Amino acid sequence: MAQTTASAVLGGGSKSSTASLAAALDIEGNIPIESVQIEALVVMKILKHSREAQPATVSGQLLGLDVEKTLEITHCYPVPTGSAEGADEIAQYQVDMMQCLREVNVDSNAVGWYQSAHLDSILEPSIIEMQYNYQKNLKKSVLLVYDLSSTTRGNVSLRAFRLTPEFMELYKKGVFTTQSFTLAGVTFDNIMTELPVVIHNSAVLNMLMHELSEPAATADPASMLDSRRLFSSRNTGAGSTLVDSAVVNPAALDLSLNAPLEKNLESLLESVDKYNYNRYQYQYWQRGVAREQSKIQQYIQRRRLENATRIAAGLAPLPEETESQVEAMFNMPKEPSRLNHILAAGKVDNYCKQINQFSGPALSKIFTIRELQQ
Amino acid sequence: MITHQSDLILHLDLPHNVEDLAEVPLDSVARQATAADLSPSTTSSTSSAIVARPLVFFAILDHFLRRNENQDRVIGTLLGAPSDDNKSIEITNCFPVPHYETEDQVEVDMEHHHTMLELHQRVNPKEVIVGWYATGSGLNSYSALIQDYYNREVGVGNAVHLVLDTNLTGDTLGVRTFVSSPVGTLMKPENCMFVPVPFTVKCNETDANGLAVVNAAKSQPDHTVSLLSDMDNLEQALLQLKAMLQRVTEYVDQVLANDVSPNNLVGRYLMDLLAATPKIEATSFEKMFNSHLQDLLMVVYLSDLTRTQLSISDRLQKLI
Repeated sequence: MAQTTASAVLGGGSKSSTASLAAALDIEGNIPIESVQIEALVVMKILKHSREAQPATVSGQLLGLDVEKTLEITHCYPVPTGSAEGADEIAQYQVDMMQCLREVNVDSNAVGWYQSAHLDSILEPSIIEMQYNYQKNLKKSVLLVYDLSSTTRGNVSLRAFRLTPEFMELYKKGVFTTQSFTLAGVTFDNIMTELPVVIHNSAVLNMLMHELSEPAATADPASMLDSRRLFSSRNTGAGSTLVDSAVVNPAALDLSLNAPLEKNLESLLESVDKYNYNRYQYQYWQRGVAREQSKIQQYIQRRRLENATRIAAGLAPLPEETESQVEAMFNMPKEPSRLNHILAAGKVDNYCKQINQFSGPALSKIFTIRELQQ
Repeated sequence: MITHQSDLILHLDLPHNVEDLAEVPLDSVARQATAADLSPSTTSSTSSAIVARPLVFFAILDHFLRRNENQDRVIGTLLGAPSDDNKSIEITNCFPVPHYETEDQVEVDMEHHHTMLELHQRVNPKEVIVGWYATGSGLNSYSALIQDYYNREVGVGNAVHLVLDTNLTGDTLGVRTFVSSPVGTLMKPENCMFVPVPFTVKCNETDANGLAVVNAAKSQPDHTVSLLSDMDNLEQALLQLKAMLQRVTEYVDQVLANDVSPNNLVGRYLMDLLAATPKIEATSFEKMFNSHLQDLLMVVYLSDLTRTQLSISDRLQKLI
């Protein structure tokens, strides 16, 4: 009974604090978010949803509250991704879901969305557009990316991203020329900013976790047998697995270095191709511009010569045309959107970083194996 | 919205007795189930076993935290699927259902239940209703009524009832699972006996990863933890591996020194383990090692080069 009152107090406490914070939020809605705090429930839900849909990527909505500089994500729900689902249906689904969740006292305040991705490939035009829309409507919304491939490395990779204010401005204008990118100061590595992510457990949940790990912790009667059985059961997925901090996650020690690296390189090649394609497009445009420019020059030259001969012949010179008038006479090709180019560059950069990140553990693994072999 | 009015509850004196009857002789079994619930269950599975994903408990506890004021317990629907061989039922998901209990009636918001069910099935059509959950210390007089409703909702088979003990009887968050069977000569919805069934928690690989992260937060004073990078993760795994190897070595040493009586089972496991280790010739290993190392370093070098080129092109772009 004591626990019930304690948790009631806890629940009450958080409610009153959210009320005061909601008030504070209205007054100054411009405090930038500096970190993201995710409830354990949300982590588990995202993992479940992503796993079930593999290899397709999924997305869903995040619910929560922003508390000063921290964005607390307390709940989430998956959004159906089927070709049969129209935009209207999804909107209706979200409305229904929000209503249902509000009835059971969930924080029904959208704070962003989550997306599962392979190797953090989030620099896609569609994702950027989605996040732009979120951030336009909800200033503090974030994009939470779950890396599907992290599971094979025995880790959970959840990263929170926001579009930078510079990029938001640029996207709002919708002009993606080299000039506008330079003026806005946007390069491939400052489209998104990453926010630090922490995981939070509620008090009751903490109790559950202690409970789950306790029986395994008292391992001494069964000696090492007990923990080894857990070890193997985790591997095969059969039998019961408890959370035991003393048990190694075997995936973290997985020695198959080639497969993830290969996949990474493949994606890298793909994005390099895309980058090159965009570069060719750009060069084509540049050549077009140069051609038109030389035509304009020729035209002006001709006009001057003509005028000179006319003056020499004692005739009135033809009127000089302004530059814009001349340009209007020729069709200058339009500069292709540089957005795709920047995104491709960002992706290449991202994959390179991933490879570097991967190589650290991989090198250590190789050396560990050598030591073990000797 | 179904409402069980007090006139229905008038008959409750009978089920009360039945439940009492059911609870007394089965209590020892139920206790046993509680003790074994979170560890590999050894109880013989007379009825179908129940397997639950950790997410379910997370969600139930979250729902419990968000209950209304003056509400003692919360209930909700369990989703899942029977296993392929029909021997066990796997609970994979759940959602809360609002309900109101007073002295003489219970009201369950069935509209909410149906809407949520429909919404869930749009995301994952494979999940069907398998039963319902409640928090609190055990069964009460309304459990039978709700159970009857869910029995009808489930369709084939029997609804599973999962009780998560949030009152902390015996200082644990005990979990008990039941199926019901009709009892008595009159076929009334209240006439049912809750039969405890064995229950286990099961994780798949992804769950295990998630749990490991959440688990790391449990011993922190503020219950928060930041995510580990792959490198840190590997370091921890290696440290743990080292500790485990040490433990095995210690044990073997102790056995060899006759300090500890040898355990045949452990010995057999160790044999299996040794047999599972592949034997590689030193020369071929050296070759493999070197080629892997070269590959890796080359790739790292090239990717660094690519990045450098990218930033150069970026700088050049600015000059234009």
